[in-house]
Amino acid sequence: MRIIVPLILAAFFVVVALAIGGANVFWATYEDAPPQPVAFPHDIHAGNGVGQQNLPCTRCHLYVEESRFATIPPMSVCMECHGNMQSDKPEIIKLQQYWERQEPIPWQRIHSVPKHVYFSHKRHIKAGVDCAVCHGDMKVVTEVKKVRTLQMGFCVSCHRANAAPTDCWTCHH
Amino acid sequence: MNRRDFLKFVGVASSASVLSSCGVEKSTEKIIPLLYPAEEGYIPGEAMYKSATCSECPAGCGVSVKVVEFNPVKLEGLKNHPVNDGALCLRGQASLMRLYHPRRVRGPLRPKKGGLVLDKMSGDMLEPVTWEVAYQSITDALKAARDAGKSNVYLSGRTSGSLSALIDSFSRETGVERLPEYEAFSHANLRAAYRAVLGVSSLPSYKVANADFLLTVGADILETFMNPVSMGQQLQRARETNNLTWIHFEPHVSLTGFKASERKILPPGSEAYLLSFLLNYFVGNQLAQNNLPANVRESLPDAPIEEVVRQTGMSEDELNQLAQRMGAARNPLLIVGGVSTQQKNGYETALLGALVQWVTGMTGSTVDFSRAEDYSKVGNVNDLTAFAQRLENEQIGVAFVTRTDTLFRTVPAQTRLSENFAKAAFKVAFVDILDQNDKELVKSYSEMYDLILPLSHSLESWGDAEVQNGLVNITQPVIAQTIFDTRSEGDILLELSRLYRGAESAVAYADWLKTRWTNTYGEAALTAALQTGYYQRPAGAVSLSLNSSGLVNALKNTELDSSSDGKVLYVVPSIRMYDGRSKDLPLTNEVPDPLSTISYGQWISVSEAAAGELGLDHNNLIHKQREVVRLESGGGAMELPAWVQPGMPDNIATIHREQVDPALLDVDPRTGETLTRIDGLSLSKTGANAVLAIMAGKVAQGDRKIIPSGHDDHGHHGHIKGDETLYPDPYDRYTEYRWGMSIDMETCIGCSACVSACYIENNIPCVGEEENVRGREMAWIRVQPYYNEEGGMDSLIMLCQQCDFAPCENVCPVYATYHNEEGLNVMVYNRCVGTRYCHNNCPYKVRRFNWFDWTDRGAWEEPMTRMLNPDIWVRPKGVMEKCTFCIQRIRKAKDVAKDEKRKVRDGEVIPACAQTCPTNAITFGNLLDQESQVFKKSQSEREFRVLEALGTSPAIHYLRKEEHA
Repeated sequence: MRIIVPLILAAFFVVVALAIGGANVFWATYEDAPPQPVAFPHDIHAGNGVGQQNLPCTRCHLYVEESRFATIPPMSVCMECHGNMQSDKPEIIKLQQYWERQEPIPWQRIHSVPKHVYFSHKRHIKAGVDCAVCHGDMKVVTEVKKVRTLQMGFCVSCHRANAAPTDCWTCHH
Repeated sequence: MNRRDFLKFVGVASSASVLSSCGVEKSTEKIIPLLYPAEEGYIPGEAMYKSATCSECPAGCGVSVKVVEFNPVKLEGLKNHPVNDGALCLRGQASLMRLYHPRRVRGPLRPKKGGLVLDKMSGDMLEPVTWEVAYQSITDALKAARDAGKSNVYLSGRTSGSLSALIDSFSRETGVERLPEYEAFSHANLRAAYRAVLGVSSLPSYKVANADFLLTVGADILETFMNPVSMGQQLQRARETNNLTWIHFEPHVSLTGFKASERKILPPGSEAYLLSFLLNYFVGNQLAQNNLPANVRESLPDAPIEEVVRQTGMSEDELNQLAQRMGAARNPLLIVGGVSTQQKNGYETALLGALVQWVTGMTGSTVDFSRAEDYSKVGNVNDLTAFAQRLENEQIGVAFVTRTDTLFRTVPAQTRLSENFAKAAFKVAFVDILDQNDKELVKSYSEMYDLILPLSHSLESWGDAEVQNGLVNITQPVIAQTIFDTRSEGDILLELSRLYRGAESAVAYADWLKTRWTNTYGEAALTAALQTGYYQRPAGAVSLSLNSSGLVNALKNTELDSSSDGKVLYVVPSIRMYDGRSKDLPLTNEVPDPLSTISYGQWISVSEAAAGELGLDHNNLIHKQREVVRLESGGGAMELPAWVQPGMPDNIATIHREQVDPALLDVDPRTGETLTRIDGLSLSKTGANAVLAIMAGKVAQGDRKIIPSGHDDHGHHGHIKGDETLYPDPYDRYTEYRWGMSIDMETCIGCSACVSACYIENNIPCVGEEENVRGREMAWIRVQPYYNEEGGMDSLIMLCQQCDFAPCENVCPVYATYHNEEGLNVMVYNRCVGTRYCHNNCPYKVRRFNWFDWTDRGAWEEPMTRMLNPDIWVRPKGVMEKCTFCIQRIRKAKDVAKDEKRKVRDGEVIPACAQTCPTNAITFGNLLDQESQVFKKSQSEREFRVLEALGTSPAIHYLRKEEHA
């Protein structure tokens, strides 16, 4: 009996330790940028450094000012520039191959809110919220990853700070 | 270590591991971008509206289709459309389900014949074939029949516009004979009467809106007759502008009857005597605007006043008064139809009705033939009898049956059509929905047809429909690709014709149509019509004249007397199913019948006296059980549970058209009208019980004083007000808006369109018969009939009352339901833990609990998920839900208002129920705005709130019925 109790305890802690470890590993990879079918570098497009294009967000995210959804740009928007551009860069070749096959790129979704939440990009942009508040500074990131939890606490703290409505149905439906 | 420490350690460690994994939601969702930007005007997540035509009945209502992310998610009436101006009925609302119906035929099918023994064991089956094989087999059969000297025939439902022209050209090119069209509600007697009296083969538009006196005889104008949505709207307009008086005569009980200003019951068959009296009155008193020639007057059926009094049961004074009121009216309108023209003397009734219309000059005003509905291609039951005879003689080769009752379940059995149909050499059905899990149905189809071709939905195809003379609805596909491997009838016919002729190039129906439209309307008018959804020519003048010689002939063989001593069964059209064609839609089954509140199943409605006579004792049965009675008449017998219908005359029973055994139906050999009045009915108690899905607990108010009557003299309009309260004035809380509603019970016609619209708008599941019986229906809004002792009925529209002092709010343990600053009783679904305390505490029974995950239970079986409104969540299991005045629409309006830096205007937010209401009985708006419509209505003399004495202070202000003298 004297041996069994510590054994059970030990076994339990091993299991708990593994679970915590596992969750941490999972969380870490979750926080990592998921591999995208085409490695799109946001910094080269949006950054204002040397060799960077300094494009405004709305150049590609066409609907962000008038729709709830920012939307991933239609492929033809990519091809407006890349259509005439010869390149030996493998990722651009990949893009052009998708286009030749007339096949949309199956991007991996990174930012999302649950289905019972209503979120309007338009309203936030019109209120003067900078994209970076939720998405991080896209001018400096190569690969996109989630930098905010986008959970209710994050939303509400900002709403409170800016005297935005906090009535439940503002976001929940 | 002791037990306590052990538990502590375990507790700490476990919570640590649980906490550390909190908030992790692994997403592997993909985002697929578009290849090209979508069409002009597209904004992701925002609705686009496209025009189409409702195809649920022949009325031809214009439809505005709400398309979100390329999927149609809601149908609304097309604003300013000459027929329905923005409104839609319950079937029209539900018809979106036809597009996404999981039982749609997904490609051509044919019966699997012979083959392995194993197949025979599994019963009859339908196997898929390719379109090429299907087309080939049809062309082969067409040629084989031609060589064998047989006729190929084409039988369809009522068709108009370009498709009708295409069928004609297809028939010419392939040598197919186009049979007279079949409609269960063909108005054969009415048409025969207009043909005899005026020599026209069409049906007029009844201009109810222009009338100040409306007399309806048998016609169920608010349910299925002609165009009920339009009738409802026009009634409302006539009430507002002409102070309309509406008297309705009927031998049975109908929703229309209860909604008339005066409902009068006539003994079966006596309608003809009433009309004969009116005719004699106008002719005899020199009040006629159009005179009858002597030869016509002499051949009129003889109806002395004593006989009229005896037959109708009305006194001479009453009759004279009625005639005087009609004579005094500036714009009287008489509508005769429905059950009154579908009986043995239905032809006589229709003839006399048409004569009264002619004599009183209505035919030049309120009975409008310039906007007539073309029925010239519609046949009658006699045509089917002749067809059956040809089938029996094996004279028929290929038979096409399309857009009609393909299994002939509404066709009277005496035509012998169903039994002979298989004798055609090759039978092709054009079908949209066919449940292949239903063994009986599959058996019927595989026995009756050699090929089943799947039809595209009207929202998937190009098309048009000539609704009235000079009014054409233009329909464009609102969905880019057909959902299944289906084709439009036009495309099928063009391809068949090409193959038959061995021609090279194929023409698509869309191109064929566009060429035809451009030639007919011209480029400019076509562009405009594509925008508005319809094309309207000014109405041309029609000169009508009395067809004296034909009329004298028609009057020769008339017999007015058709009275009955015994019990009579009326087979009545159903506001939910029309003639049965809407039965495939889950929603039309789910929305209860507005008279009985029964949703699923079959039943016979009997009077209280008849129930007593039969010894039916429902009081000792548990709530939804009813006794089964056996009904017999010459032709056949049925056993059905009995519903005691208040207001039903003693010797009358009714059953809905789609529920009746066609063996019971008789035919008038003179006109081919189906006789829906069945005499010599015998009812007997079987002793068995059946459970009916009855929604209402009680259909009488008892002492509950739900709807105050004007006669009560105590309190405010006879209603008990809530006590004064110590709580602060709720209106102090509201700053900008207090959303509220008014429902006018005078104008509400109980048609249940609001209920249907709410289901579609708010992603409410259809839960099926079993759960309805258990009282687990999910409707957020319902139509509750209350019958009173004076023989009237009120339809109370019940939905969440958004109370100022809501009993539901203060019992929620998790603050999932709360009162917001705009007066709404908001429900935060993801916060709800499902205690159901709120439901228990709600005196209005308007909260609904999700006992199941309805998505898992198949409420939106694929592809129905595509019709879900993306603006509102589909509530999961264990969550309470209810009406919040279409909060998604309020949010949308506020979004627009905020963009324009202003407040929401009055009338900018229209909830789905108010939007579809044909009579504008529902008004929604801001009660803080004293200029708003809803505020003005809330100040009406007639205003009351339901169960006000409870002190809940609801935001829904009902307006009780006006007192009629």
